[in-house]
Amino acid sequence: MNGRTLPLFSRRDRIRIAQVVIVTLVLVLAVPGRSLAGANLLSNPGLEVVDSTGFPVCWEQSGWGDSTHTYEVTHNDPHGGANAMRVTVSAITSGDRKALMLENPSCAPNVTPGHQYDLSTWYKTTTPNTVMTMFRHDVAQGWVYWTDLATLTTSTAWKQQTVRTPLVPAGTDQIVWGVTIYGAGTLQTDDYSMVDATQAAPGTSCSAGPACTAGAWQVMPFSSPVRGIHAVVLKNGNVLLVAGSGNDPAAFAAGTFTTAVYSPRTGTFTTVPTPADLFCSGHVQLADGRVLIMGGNKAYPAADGSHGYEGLKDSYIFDPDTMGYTKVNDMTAGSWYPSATVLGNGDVISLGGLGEDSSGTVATQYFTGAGQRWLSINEAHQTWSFWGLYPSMVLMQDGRLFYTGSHVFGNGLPGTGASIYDYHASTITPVSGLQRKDERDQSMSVLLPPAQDQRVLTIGGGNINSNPDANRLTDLIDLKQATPVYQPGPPLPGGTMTGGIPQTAAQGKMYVSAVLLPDGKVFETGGALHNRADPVYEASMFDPATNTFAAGMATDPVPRGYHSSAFLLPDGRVMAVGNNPGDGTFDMRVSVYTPPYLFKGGRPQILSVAGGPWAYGTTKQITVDGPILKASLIRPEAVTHSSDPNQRYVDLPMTVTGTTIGLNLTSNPNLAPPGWYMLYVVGTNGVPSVAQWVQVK
Amino acid sequence: MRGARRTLLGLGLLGVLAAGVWLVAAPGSHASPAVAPAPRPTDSTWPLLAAGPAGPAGPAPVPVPPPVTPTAAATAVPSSPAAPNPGGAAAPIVQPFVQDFAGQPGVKPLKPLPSPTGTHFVRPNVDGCDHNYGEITQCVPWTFPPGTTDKCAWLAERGFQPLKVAAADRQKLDPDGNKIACDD
Repeated sequence: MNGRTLPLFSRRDRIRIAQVVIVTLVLVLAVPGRSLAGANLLSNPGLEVVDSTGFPVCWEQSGWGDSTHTYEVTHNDPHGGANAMRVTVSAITSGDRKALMLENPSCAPNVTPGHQYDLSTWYKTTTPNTVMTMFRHDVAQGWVYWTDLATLTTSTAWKQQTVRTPLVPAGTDQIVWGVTIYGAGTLQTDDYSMVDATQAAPGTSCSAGPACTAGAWQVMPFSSPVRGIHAVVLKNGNVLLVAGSGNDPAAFAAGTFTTAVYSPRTGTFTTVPTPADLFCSGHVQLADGRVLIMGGNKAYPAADGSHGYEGLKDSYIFDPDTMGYTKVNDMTAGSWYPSATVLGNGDVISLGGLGEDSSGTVATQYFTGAGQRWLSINEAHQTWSFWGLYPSMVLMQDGRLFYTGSHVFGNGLPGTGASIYDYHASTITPVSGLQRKDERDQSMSVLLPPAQDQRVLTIGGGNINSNPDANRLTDLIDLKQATPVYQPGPPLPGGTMTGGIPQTAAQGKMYVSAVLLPDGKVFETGGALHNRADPVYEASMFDPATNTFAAGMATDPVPRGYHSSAFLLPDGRVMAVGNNPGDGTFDMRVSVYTPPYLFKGGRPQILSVAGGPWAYGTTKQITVDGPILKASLIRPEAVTHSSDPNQRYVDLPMTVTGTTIGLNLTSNPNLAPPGWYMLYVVGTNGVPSVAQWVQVK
Repeated sequence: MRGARRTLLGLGLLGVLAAGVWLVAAPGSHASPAVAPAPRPTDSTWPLLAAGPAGPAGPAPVPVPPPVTPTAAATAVPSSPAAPNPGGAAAPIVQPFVQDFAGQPGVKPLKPLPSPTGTHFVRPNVDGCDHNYGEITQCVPWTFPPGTTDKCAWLAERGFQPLKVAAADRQKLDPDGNKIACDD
């Protein structure tokens, strides 16, 4: 060997390397935007940078409740780098724990309202009691809970979970998120990611004139064969219309009780033998899609005032498959105008109404899904409270019931007029803030989309005793708050009376219908200025994202006051039936509303849905034919007298892989009680699909 | 070029080519122009920019992981109960996740009511209709809207025909006493 040292690369080699580097740079620069599309928006996503305590910067220990737990930055088998987060819960009686991104301006990732983001983490967990949880920074409210996205299945190996957020609400500038563990076990996470997944909205064109913004009504060329006082959308897409005696004492005297099933696909009705006078009953779909009907009309009031309406104790189940009623055991008390709310376990609670002797029913009546029977009066928890007639009882995410103050006939309940009822504890706690609680007779309440947001809107109302003009009040309540209080909402838009006479500034509506739509808005239609008199022609669209009404929606040319109903059809349209003014007539016409979204372009198609019932906290795969903005489950309506407390829209956070989408169902049955739901997806043009029916259990 | 150098250069080339292919073929090209760039922290208190309390040597350089874009292989496995676990055991059932909302601290529950010994009275005209008039299915208001001066005119405007007086003429709609209201 001589002493000459050769360089590692010759001059020629160095020139070749330089050429390769230049070509590489050209390649990179020739793919514009790609690096931005995948940009991880998180600070310290791999948990590699730690502070003096050894905890990752821009992360914090979060949670609440009573548990024995530890947080550890582990170096043992991280997914990437040197660190991973390990949260161990060895015992827990309440609450949860999570490693959460720090809620401060420099650590929390910035977001843009209207955008969507794919959130991803690698994880291992020994417990399935985990969920990805998000908070958002509202420029007005500060940091607030946003929603839960997806449950993580147990895994001993590193696994990735990716979920797309809903559209970021207006007024939001930052979000934070993390994985919550709320059961005993160990959760490890690492290598978080958050990328902007906003999809470009295609240009929309509409040539339908006013229908582009107002939608359009069509009065069907046929009439309903029965007085559709009770309307229930069935698991097969048909509509059960129950009249019973239909507020017709002659039919009652003759024992002529009627039911028909309407098929929207064929426009045909099938009459169904009706075993009792189910007029003024309560109804709700059970977990298997059959319809539980409770109570009804035992007697009309006597002309001499010796007695009023009397309630039946009878209860039946209508089966959409057999198209027939089957009797179940009697209720514990007569029930004329009872409420009916399905619970997270599939059971049903019924409150209020009139008994067999016209007195107020004070028993809490409880139908058990497992036993398929009404409990005896001593088996059910009792508070002995009279809840009025058709009290609107909305199931809350923790299983309690929120009495919205919406009811039928007379004054509101004593006190604040709204409350939270805990069946298991037999307690009723007042909720304040409802405006003019004694003028919310024949108002309507809805749990606003999405159900995860736990907000209720109550609209309009009047009072049959004092008979003022119905009001245009609306009230909003956020049941996520520690002490929820109703807040005044925007006034109901004004409409016109018969003859096109504009309403005054103070006039509103009672017996209003509010229908949840698959785009997440609430269509409000129908109603009248007084009990069974003076129809109001007005319709609007309430947007829960902005708490505003879009006035000027097309109005149903048919008056829709007392004994009318409107409800969502699986094809995304709204059907309206009934009207029973004081002169005793009944309008048998059927109207169908096509919302503006159906004039905006092509409808997305759900090409396939993974089979079988859908378990809570799991993901169901669907395939679609194009880009999708969001997905939801909407519980089919079971409505009468402006009351359907079970109506709800459940958001389904998406895991998107092209046209294959994993839909993540909440683990909480109180947010989506068991039963059949309409599954909708909404395309990036804002147009919803036709619903596919899925069973949640 | 010596063999070792040639090998080294070849490996480098392969790496660069692989990076190029990944850049071109990796999914994510469908991302829309609406995608926002990653926000850059401008806050001087941002712990990753400031000399943090991470120890004598200061914070380590922030590792920038490669962009994570969902791919067929990397996307989360469906969390259906039917999906097999790495351990092969059936997935345990997830418990409901319930939030700690609406605890109403400080709000007293209503006083519990005793088991009733009587009935809860509801007046017969609960529907707001005066059933002294017309058929039961009809609804002459028990209380007419404020400002109503002529009740029969109010009824006629809303389609009512003359009504039988079924019981007492409570609202004085039958001044001639012929048991037909609003027939004058």
